[in-house]
Amino acid sequence: MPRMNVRYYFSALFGALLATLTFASANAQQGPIRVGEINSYTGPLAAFTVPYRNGWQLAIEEINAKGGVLGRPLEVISRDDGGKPANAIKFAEELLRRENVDLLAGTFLSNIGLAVADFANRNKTLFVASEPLSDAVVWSKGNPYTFRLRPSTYMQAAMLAEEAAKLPAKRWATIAPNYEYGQSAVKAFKEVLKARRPDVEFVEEQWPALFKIDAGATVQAIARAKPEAIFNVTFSIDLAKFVREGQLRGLFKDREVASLLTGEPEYLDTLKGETPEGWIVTGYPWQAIKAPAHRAFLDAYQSRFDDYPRAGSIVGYSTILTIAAMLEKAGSTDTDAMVAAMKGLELDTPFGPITYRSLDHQSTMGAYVGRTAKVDGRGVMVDFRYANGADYLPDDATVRKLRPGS
Amino acid sequence: MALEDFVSFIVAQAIAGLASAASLFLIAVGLSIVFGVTRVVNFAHGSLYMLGAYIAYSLVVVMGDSFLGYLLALLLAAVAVGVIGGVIESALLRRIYHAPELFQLLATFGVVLVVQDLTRTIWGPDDLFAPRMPGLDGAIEILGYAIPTYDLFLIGVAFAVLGGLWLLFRKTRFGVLLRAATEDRQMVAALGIDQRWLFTAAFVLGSALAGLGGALQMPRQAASLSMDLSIIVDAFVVVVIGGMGSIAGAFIAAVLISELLAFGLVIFPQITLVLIFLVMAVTLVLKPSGLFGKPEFLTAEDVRNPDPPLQPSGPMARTGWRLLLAAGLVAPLVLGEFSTVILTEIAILALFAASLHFLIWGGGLITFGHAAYFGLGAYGAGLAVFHLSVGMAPALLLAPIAGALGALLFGWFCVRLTGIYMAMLTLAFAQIAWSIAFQWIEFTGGDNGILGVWPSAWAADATVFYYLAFSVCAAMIWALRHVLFSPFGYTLRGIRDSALRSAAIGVDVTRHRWLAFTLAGAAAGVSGGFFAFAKGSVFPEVLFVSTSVDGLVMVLLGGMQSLAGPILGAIVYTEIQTELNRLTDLWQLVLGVFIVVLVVILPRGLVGLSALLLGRRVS
Amino acid sequence: MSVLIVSDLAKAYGGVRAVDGVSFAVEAGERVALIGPNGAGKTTLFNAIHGQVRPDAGQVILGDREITGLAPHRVWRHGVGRTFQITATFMSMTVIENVQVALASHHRVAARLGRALRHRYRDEAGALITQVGLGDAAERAVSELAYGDLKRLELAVALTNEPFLLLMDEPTAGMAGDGRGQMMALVDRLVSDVGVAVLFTEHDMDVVFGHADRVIVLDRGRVIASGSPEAVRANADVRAVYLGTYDDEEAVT
Repeated sequence: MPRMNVRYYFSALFGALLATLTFASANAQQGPIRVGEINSYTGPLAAFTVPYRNGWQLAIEEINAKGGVLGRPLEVISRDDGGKPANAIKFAEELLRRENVDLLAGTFLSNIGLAVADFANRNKTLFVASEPLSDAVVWSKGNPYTFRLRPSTYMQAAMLAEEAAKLPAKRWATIAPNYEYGQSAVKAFKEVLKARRPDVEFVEEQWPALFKIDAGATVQAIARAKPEAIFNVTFSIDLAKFVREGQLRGLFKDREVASLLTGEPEYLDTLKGETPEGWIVTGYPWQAIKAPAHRAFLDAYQSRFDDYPRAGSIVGYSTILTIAAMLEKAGSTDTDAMVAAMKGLELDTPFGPITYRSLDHQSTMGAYVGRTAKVDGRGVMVDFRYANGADYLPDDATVRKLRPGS
Repeated sequence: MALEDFVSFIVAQAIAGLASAASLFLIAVGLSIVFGVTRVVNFAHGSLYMLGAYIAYSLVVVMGDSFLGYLLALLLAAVAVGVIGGVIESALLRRIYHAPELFQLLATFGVVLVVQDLTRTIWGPDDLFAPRMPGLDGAIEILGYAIPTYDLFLIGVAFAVLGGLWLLFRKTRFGVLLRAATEDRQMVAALGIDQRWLFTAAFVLGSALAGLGGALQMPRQAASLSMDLSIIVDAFVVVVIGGMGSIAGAFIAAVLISELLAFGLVIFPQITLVLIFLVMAVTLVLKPSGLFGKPEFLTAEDVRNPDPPLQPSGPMARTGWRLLLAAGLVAPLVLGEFSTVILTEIAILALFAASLHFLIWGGGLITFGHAAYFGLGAYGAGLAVFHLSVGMAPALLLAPIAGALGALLFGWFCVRLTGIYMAMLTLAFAQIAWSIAFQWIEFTGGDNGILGVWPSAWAADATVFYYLAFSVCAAMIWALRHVLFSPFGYTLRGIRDSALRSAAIGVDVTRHRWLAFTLAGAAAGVSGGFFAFAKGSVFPEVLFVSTSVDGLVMVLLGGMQSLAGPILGAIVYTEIQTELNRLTDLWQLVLGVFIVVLVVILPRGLVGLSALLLGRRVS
Repeated sequence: MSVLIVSDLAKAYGGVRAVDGVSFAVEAGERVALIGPNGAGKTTLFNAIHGQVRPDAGQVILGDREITGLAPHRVWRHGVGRTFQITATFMSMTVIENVQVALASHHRVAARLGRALRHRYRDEAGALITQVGLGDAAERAVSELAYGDLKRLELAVALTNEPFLLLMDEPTAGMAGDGRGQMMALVDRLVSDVGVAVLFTEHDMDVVFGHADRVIVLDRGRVIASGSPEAVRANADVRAVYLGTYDDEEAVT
């Protein structure tokens, strides 16, 4: 009989189902405080998330070495979403319902951050969004249960626009990957720059598809418009291609470039000998920050991992510091108490003191703004200063309008 | 003056386009050769390209200080990838040439997962940017524009490869055999040539070309873990536009696309993502076999090895179905809350897989773009909630309508084609839909998606929502199964078996295929709608090629020749992904190895397992 | 009355005139053999009549309707059954299911999603397969049938729309001597029982001269002779064409 016999695998299947689905683990109230953490640890994003993971691991070890929080150790249960929002939601469900975590944290991509934020809101669970940049996380899609650590797209674009306004350049071109992040960044940059310099005009816009930049042709298209300065939002492999083609074709000669995030080691280090000189960037000059808080972090990190920290490491480290500080303030793992504690929470990070604004749940963590330079064939930031995030947010009335229900 | 400016800009832009075309040609031509000779749709071609880049990077670091050293590094990388290709072919693909063609695709997908994780393990997650090539690290001025000398070198290499391949295929016995194998496989067998040797050689050649393509990118871009998937779709598009198996076609298509992009971004800087797929869609509508291709047959099942006739379930099988149904109904009562969430996902994906299975197995309609209808269902529901503020029930009713309308529109073009060309046109439409969702931010929310698509209050409880999703999806799967036995189902099966005979008995083949496509689109739409509410959000990824691939993997994993295959596939694939993730960062590697081993041991999918356990042969 | 009138039909591929101004008619209940050496244009002519290829010029009239250039599935609706040189059947079905699918199409229910096909037209399908001598094989998988039985099955399928014209491309190709005789006897019986007209191509001259009422000879796309088997056999042009090219080996391909 050549036909499929359905019976046999049904029985096998049923057994397998039962075996794999009955994982329900009991919630131990007196055990560690459990933080459910989700991020994109595999695939192309690993370059960003692995240093981030090192950061939070370091913080966990330090805190638990000192006896934990509220007399309980802190435990992170981490999941890889593979870069897909649907997976992130699946693991958020798992962390909440099977692992019985007390709160959620993490995420890198904006869309995943937003999805988990919405999930947290739905399930009345605290979510500390560590890395996603999208303004929507705290503004248009902001919700009572979500707080964000990293300086947002708007804040970083505003930092660059402030510097850009000081330049004589009037004719600007923009280049940004064609998706929400790129479009928001360009919009925010234009807005802030125009407000400071009404005489500025934007003469060319290039919108390469994300990770598919046709660099040579794009560079020439920008050059043809003869701008005096360029605002760049491309990053990662797009940035490397853009920089090399741009240098080869002389695009950056006698032109100012303001470039978002490019000073972060995640992006700058890739460029190595190709690092452009004199670009105005936001980033993290880890070698040169003298502040003692950072010094201590740097030493601990380097001795623990035999590697230097990236911007993500700071974020990962500060995420756990945030959670620990919040728990101390809240005194319990009750969600309402934790949410209340997050509002106006103040703590010290390697970047200095930050506050989680009760107005929009955005932390005031800032970024370093400076210029790029090449030293020994490597990119570094010079002439930098720390831009405090609090100074790059719109006024409260505007924020209230941006954040419905606040 | 202005005209002069314009002309020099055109020339500079054309040269930039040619340099991109050179890269695209090198990757596409290898894929085309492999497909032409072995008929394997090699998803891992992009992975070989990525390996070429990484290996080249490592060699360049060691020996790239001079022009010759750098050049040697690039060539060695190509050779190394050729060797890796040879290993993959002889260790894996050679064992499964007799299996249905789609299973080879599944195997190469397993290789993609394995290579992805191995590359990350070996080279680390950081992007690796090689230095410029000594001697070709500057630019020369042409009509006032600085043109990188490496671009000119790359264009030269592309022409050299084109010429070399032309000589190989026209002037050597080996090449003539390759060409013969592409055009008429029986003839080669009749000539007494050892096909195994020929296949291995073709695969090595194709792999080396992919490796060369990747290596030659090193002076232009950073080696990155996203290289494999970002290039493979483009490569397929080029191959399909040019015509599968045609070398000149690949070249002309690469030039066509690259030049269109180079000039397109000047005029429509926002449209570049869609452009490449629009070109493919238009080409295939006008020339169904691509510019230089011959009609090609990628069949759902090997024609030499026909399915057994459909049989209504016997008493034992009926008991099995009832048990499964009962298990589905009881499970949430005995299992944990999260298991209910996973079961919901399984039920939804099982319907998605079943609708794909209905097309492929029921009608021989192979699609690589089934995500389009799943995604349209999800977006139909999500947009209704977002823009119209409707509740869950009406939104869920809209989902199949959105899926069906999309299938009706795209299907009209797609069902006129067959085999790999149809599969690629479906992919093109799905990618166009994805591009629109990704970039039309005002309407779809773009990459940030649509949030707040949660079930209505009455279904907010996970268990209630599960029962809703389970009952609707189970009913839809049952309905699809019922259709297979109906006159329409048999007519469709007839078309799959012999379109010639179907037409000769008065069946309007195109129309029936179109109807099947629409029906499957509606079913996928239902599952997409439920998916949106299960996740509370809709993102462009639901339309992306990876969703289509997931569907194919589930169908193939479960087994094509059984109605229960897609259900089994959905269960196993979802469970593996969920549980492996807890255990290891290298879950892609484990999953990839699992798929590869499964394909080799059980070329009929998991349903073949029962037969194996019983020591029986499945047809 | 003529059931089929072909006038001045022409079809060229590139520069080659595969069919070059062919005219003939087939009368009701008549068995007409179309013969000619390989490459004479027989299959192209068949395909042009049946709609698989669109003729460049000329007319095909079926009964009182012009069907020139109609697609095969429409030609079938006008009462034409077709069998192929290499059998085209549904390999993943049983014998009776093959006939049931054709009947579903004939009764215009091919797109119905309701009651299972296996319960429809069982008797009608059974009668047809009994008629071609496959009564005992009704539930067998087609993939298990001998080639001769496939040819019979094709005939049964071709009869489902009660055609008044059968187009049979080499009805005995690939069959052994006995089988050929039985097959043609079956065709003869159908013609006398049902009154269907048959236009067939054939390489086997025994079959042609034993079972055709009339023979049309094609060469290089043109009709070079037409008439009773005896007249054609005696025709000098035909002899010239066949003596040059016809041999036994070809007769069995």
